[in-house]
Amino acid sequence: MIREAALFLVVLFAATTSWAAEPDGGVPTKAPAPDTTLERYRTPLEALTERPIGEASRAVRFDWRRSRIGFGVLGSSVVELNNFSSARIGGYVRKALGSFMLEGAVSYVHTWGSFATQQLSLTPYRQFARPSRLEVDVNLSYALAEGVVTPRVSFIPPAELVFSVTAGVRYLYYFGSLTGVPAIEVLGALFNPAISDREADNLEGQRLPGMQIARTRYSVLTGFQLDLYLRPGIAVTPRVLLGLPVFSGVPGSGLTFWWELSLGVGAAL
Amino acid sequence: MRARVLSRSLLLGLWALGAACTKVPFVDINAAFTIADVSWFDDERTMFVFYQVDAEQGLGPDSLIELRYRTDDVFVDWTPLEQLPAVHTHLPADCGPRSKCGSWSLAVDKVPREVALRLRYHRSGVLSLNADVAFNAIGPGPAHLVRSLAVYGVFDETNTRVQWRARHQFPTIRNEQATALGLRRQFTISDVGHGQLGPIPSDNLYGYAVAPVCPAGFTPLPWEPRRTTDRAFFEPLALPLAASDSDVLCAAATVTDALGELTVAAIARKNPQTKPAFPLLRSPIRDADPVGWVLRPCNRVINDAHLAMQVQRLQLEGAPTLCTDDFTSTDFVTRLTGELKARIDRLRTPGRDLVLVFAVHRDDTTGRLNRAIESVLEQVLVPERDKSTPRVVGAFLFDSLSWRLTSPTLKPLVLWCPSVRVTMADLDLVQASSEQDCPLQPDAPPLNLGPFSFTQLPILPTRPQYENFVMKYSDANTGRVTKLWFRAPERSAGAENLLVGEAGVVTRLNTEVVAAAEADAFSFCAPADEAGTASVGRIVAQPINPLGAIEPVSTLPRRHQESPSTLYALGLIWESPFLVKMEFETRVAGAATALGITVPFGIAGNGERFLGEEQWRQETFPLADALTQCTRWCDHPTFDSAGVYQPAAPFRLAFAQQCYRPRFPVPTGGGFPDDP
Repeated sequence: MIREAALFLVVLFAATTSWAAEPDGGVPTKAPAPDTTLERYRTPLEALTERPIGEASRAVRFDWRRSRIGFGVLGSSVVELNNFSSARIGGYVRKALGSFMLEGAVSYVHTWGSFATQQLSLTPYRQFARPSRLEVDVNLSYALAEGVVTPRVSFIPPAELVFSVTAGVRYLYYFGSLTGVPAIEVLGALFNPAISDREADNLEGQRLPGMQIARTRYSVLTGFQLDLYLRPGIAVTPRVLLGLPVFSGVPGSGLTFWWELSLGVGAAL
Repeated sequence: MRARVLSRSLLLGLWALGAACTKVPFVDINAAFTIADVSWFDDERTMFVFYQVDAEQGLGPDSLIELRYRTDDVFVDWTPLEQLPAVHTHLPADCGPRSKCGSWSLAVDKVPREVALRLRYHRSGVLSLNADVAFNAIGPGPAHLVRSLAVYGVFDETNTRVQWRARHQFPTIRNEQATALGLRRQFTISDVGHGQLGPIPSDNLYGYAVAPVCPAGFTPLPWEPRRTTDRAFFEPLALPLAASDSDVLCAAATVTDALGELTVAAIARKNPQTKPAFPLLRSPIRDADPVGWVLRPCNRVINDAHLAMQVQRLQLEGAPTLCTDDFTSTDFVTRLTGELKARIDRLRTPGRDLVLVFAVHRDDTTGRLNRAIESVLEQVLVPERDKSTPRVVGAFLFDSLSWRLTSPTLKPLVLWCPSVRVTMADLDLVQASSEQDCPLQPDAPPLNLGPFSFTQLPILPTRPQYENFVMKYSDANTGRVTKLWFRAPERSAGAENLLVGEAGVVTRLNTEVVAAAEADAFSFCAPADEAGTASVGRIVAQPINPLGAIEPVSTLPRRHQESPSTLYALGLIWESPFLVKMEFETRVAGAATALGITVPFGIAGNGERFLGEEQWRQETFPLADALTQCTRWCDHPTFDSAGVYQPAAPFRLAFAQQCYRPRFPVPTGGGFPDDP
């Protein structure tokens, strides 16, 4: 009510100011050229009034910023744009840091071939891909927009919707790749962005027919995600990530851009 | 502005979107044959195939190697190797995950033509990679040259255990490579006997098939026949004592091929029998007692401070003085000789040698005095030189002026300091590289830093050096000797001296000789360390039956090979009969010059110096590791230090000037010895 009254007074004052500026006698004179110098700095009144309203209406249904910790399971489809298929399943843990959300996740990725890769294995050609593996992610999200949404069906309670931009780093561990590798090289394998020849040799048995193993150990991803928070703290998170060719300089990296579509379900406490 | 940023962002986004939708391309595995060798042996009617294919990502188990060939009788089209009947055993070869390799053998009656080899990428596919085949057809001939397998024997270090070995012989594939590619050949050893064998043809390095059967004169050994597909096996039984002087074992060696079996004689030659030619030379080193005199004019004074310095340096406080005022008289030499001999006889102690020590304080620059002293020393020292201990081993003189010995007889007996080569009076002008008989140069070259200059007086300076130094840096900085100590080798009654060159003497210490047969051979091995090299370098050898020249012991192997002698006398070469050790306090003298005033100062330190023959610091001169003597089977092949049998390098020829450090096979060494 107070807001509406204030808005009315602002509009009335602007109209009065405009009327008072008319020259006496009402005789029209030649209008001066409009000054647009300040045009780019002007903001519509509606925007000025809606912005504080949006700020004030935040976290009406669930205040995710105040959650101590979140956890859940996630599943993904990895679209590496080759003839191999990969699916991920794993779990995540989250912690809100102001408008940021820090997330750690561990996933198992299963890779399988196709008829095309079977046919490819009959030829002297191979296609870059990654064998089945374990992945460790560290992601950071920043909330771009959020608000309360009202479901169309009545049995779903009103929810808090957060739209975020996400970026993260992913470490890939291949089972058996470090068998017989000296301890000092195992330590190096944690930091070396490329898989060593020794590791690649160990992975030869796990390589699917037609597959040329991509030698990168790390991936950098970015994308967008939606977090739908339902009271008392259920979180549903669809996400789309784009793998960036940050480590494409590694010899034998093979893959450049690739996609990942994932869905996470969990709780925020 | 905003529109431009927006359009650029849009373009970047579209590019990224396009790139993000690009499919992963196919890549070639770049497979290539690194080995594609085929050999056909006429005498065996067997064709051997060796192959290795490398690829970037590796080849799967479904990849196949296929062969095609044609003879006058048959045409075999592309057939996987495994489907062809094998003559020999071929194990799967592991060449790593990026390679596929192996071998195969098949019976082929006539010489093959159009031999081709290819890789089929997948047994269900049709794509393949053809190889450039290296094909060899080996015709008929002697078994040791034209067969794919030779058999020979070697012995362990004790020459009592024999190891029978098989060796692959292919034109382009090495022995161990054939093993690595999976080829295993069966061979059988039976009917082993020992005896003597005549010369073996030089082209038959391993003595394989030197005869169809072993000679009749060989004594059979009761050993069971043994068969293996390994490349070698040790006979579990040792040779009996009766076989100790036999130089060869001979056995019937049976190998298989496409025609059946072939049995010929194979031999095992014993390793050269070696021993250290001489263990070591030992020369006990004892402390020698100094007997000192001061030689100076008694009727006048030259320089008392310098005389005191000389006396202090040689520790001659209280030593008798020999007056040199009458050195020009005819009886000067006789008088001095008599005085010296009388005192020497009084001081001679059983078991201890003597060293004569003289401080020569003189200003005579004509050299007459010094020549007179040399005459005295000749009469005293030369008769003593060849005596056994106790004796006078030599003389050490500290002269006022530099002097170089004129008597060749005295050069190996007398150390006369300072040397004639240090002639410059001002030490600041002495170059660091100056050569000196006595190490008299300053320890460090003079250093000038602005008004400061630093130098050091040698511990045995000339009088002009001393006087110039004292004038500039003061007497307090001349240093002092704290200990003077002489050591000399104890000389046995049977020792013998031989003069070598101008100043060298070889002493045969105690009848050290090396006895050698004409057929013996020697090997010299220079020690790896500097001290060992210096020590061995002091040892010389002289043939005494027949008599020959004295030469370094390192030349003995070559000399014995060219003109053998039955006895070699060993000796030590030396240039000074004793060792002087001086311990002294030295001072780095400095002088600061400003406004025409020079202020000397000194920095004290301790020093130690050895004069004379440094080899007398050690009593033993090891020779065991340096000189090896072969007394039997010196023309047999042997092993090198890597454990590889070298059939083309018999001991006599190969190791005369090489270190003989063989590594022999051991019974626990396994069935695949190093045999490249």
